[in-house]
Amino acid sequence: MSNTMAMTESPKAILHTLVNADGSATYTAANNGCQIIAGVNYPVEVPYRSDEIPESTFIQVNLRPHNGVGMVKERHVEELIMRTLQTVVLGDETPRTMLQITLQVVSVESDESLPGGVKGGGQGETYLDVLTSALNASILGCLDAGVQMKAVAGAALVGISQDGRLIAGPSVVQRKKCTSLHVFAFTSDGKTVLMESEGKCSVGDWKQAQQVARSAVLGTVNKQHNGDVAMNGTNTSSEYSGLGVLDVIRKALEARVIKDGGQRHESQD
Amino acid sequence: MATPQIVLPGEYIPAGQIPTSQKRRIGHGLRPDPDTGSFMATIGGLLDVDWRKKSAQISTPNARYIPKPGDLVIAQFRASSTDYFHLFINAHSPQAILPQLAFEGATKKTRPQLKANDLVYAKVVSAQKNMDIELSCVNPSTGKAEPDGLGPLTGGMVFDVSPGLANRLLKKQNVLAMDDLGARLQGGFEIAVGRNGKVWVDCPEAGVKGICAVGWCLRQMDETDLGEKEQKKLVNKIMAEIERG
Repeated sequence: MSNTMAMTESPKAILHTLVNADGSATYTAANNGCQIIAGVNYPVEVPYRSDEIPESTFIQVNLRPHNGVGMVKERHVEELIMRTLQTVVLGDETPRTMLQITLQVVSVESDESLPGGVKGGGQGETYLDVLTSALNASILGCLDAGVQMKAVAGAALVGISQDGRLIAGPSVVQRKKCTSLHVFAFTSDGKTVLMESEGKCSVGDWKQAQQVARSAVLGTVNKQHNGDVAMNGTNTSSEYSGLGVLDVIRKALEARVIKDGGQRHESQD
Repeated sequence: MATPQIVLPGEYIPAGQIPTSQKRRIGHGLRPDPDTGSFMATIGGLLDVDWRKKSAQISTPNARYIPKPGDLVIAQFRASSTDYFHLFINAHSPQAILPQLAFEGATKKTRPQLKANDLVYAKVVSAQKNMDIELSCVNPSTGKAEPDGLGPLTGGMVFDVSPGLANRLLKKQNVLAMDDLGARLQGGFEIAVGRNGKVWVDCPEAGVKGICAVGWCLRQMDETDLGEKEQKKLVNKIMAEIERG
């Protein structure tokens, strides 16, 4: 299998990038793609009494695009993130409170090689790349804020090109040439929690895209779940040889916490 | 002592890694699985197991402070009613009440007189959702303010720090700079740490300058994660600045 394409760079994640929020994180998609800062406030009072859920936590997601104001597309992404988080967050631990997530798109991928330059995330463009980064950023933010969760989840974007190749994490130029784009999110125990597709594809392609996304998300976390990818993976142009999204999330937490662990050792000496 | 282990939400922790005593105390972020007796982590962080105290919890350095019984906090006096003082802990927790007689040696006739915005170092007695938080300034078993030194705080200044740093200060983890600074400041300084991210500092001999030095040191330690050497450097820098005036 050829991993020679420049697709293997892993996404980047840093926890606690904002000082005043209860939790925050910055997530950058692979190859300097869409970068999003998430700020999480939890648990807070629900502003409107009518929004209060007696036995669960109300989740509010605000997404702000890199330019202009949020419109229909952003509202749609917010709704998808909110619903995905509802399946992951243990809302009954803090009933009648709110989990507030604010997402700011800091930069989008751009490519100047084409005439006029291609930029992701514009009003005419797909929202799936923003959705992928936004979901990963919000999960990281929740992790930093100490939100009680059943599991961690990660999302990956997969494109199917005109010649039927599957591309995990396609770049902005590659996206232009894809016939369909798919976003899948999985929890650490391998359950699918989100799927969104755009464009035209066959059910077989869609299933293969799901497998590619699964290995891109889970990486080395759950080998037994993606064991069958290697068999299907013959026509995937770029298997994620690098880290999966969940590995990146774990690394980010380690980077944040090990400092404290190191301090612990120092103090005991 | 257990080696630090990092867990993510959804990870299972085998029963063998958690104290099994009847009196064990399972803290934040661990959810028991009744079938297997193992535990599932619900938050990400460092698994903190203390076999001596039979406690286990997952520590998160910077999540929001939520009052729990047994926490030491620095509260600010807001109002007074017949039997209670009403105090402020932080912006997102409900008002706290402190019985006027819950001070060392307080009787109906001799009870502390608090003025608006006075500070009190107190212990949380009970904290429940949608109810006032109850505080106390005495140890219920002895009726004394010791060993925590509870009671009104006079003089000094309060600095806001992150809950994570406050926790570290209370456990004396990697806060060498404080010891160092105490040894080098004239007459040392007094410090009271509240779990709610407030640190009260008083420096009777070195005065406001000394207090500011400690406050500056705290802020630097909070903003950047400093190692042992960097903390020493920081103290040297602060002392040099003070001497210059």
